[in-house]
Amino acid sequence: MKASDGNAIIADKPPTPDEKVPIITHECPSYLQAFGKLECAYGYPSSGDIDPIRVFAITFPILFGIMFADVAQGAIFVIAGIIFTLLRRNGKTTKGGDIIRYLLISGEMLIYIGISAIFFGFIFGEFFGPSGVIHPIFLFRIGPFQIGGFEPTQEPMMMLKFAILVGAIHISLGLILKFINELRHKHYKLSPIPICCIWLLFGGLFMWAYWGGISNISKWFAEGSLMFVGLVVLPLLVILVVTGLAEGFMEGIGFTVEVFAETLSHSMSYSRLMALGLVHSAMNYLFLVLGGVEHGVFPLQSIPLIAIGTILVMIIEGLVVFVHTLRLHWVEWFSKFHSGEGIPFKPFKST
Amino acid sequence: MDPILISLIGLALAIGVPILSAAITIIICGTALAGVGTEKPELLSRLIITVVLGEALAIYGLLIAFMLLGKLPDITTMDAANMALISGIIISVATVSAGAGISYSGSSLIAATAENPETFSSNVIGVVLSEALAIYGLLIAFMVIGQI
Repeated sequence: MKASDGNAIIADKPPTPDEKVPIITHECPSYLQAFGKLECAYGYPSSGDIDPIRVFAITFPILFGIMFADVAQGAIFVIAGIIFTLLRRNGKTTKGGDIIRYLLISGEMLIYIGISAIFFGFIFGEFFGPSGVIHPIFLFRIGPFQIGGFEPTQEPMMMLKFAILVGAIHISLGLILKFINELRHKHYKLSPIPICCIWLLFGGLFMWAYWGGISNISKWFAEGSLMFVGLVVLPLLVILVVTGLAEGFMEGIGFTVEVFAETLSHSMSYSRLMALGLVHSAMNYLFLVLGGVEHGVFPLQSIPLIAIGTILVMIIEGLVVFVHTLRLHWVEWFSKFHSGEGIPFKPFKST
Repeated sequence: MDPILISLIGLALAIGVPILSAAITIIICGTALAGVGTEKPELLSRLIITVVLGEALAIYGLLIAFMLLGKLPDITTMDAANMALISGIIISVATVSAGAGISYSGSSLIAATAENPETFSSNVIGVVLSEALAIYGLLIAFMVIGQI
């Protein structure tokens, strides 16, 4: 009353839990700045949602590294990243055009993705492509899924299985974050759904691996029918009942069909990890053949060719792989838990 | 017909048609992007996804062509040659349909985002779902080549 001279009443009401509230955006630490920009390009997290930036900063380089597995080119990324970071820390950001500014901001990100590329380069045995300098290092084996110890170009099916496994783990990480979000919003009735989605995802994956792929699909319904019911039908039924009780059964049926289709198409989408990984090593292989590199011996005249090839591959492939990693996160991962509908809080300032 | 000739036709389809569809996609989305870039350059870094996803179609064709090229010495029977031809046709049709989807929804996405940047995260779904069509074709073409 006093503040407005008795002309108006100012009421102070706390927002209801479902109301949209502007979120307070924290300044990202400088080593996460590039990831923060990528996340906010999609949208800000809604109020009360978890801010996934720290998980994002771990999974992004891993997926990039699988598609861009190469020891030497990863090392180039790391060196470039260190140079850009040092330049930025010394405050030379004002000069240069748009592209230079983007590169300077992403200095730390280049270091992370370079390290990841080096790691997967050792696993898949790539040094400027499959040149034979490094042999694939075998890490371990989970059932039919083998981690490392094979050349992707020689055994593409092995790489496909690896890619789908990575995809399943990545999606389930997103579903766990969704579970946490539901608990934070106190939607206890809906909270079993992400758990059932994980059950369905890994159940389907297990069926796929156990019966030896899609080509034996008749066995899924003959000998494996009990397993099929337990691993695929049961989680769908639980989802149907849970949504049905919470929001009505017509909603429930629609949602269940959507969950089934989404689980299938999203996990298949991760096969692009295999496709782009193979393309990367095939493009490098082209320049290795042109340069006459055999069994890890680089003749002198091959060096300029390899240099041209590396520049070409790092620019074209790097851009394509980057966008595909971003796309996997934006669509397959953020759609699970990150609505992107948050409104950033802009303080009222008099200028 | 000669098995090698048939598999070479498959190879030519596998590299030629995806490149054509990638080119058409980039032509449509790239021109739309250039138009928006003059008005709102800060959106370019987000909207470039349409052009790059179009370019990726050519890469899928390249992958299948590479695989076929590696298999070429093994192709001696008509059955194997037919499989090579079919895998080329599969990737061609898949990339053409993905290219059509990306170019239509991509250019609309660019125009809509310029008008109202908040709609980007929901409108981008159309572009990436069309792009996923190419992945399905790629998977099946890949499995067909594995049978040779």
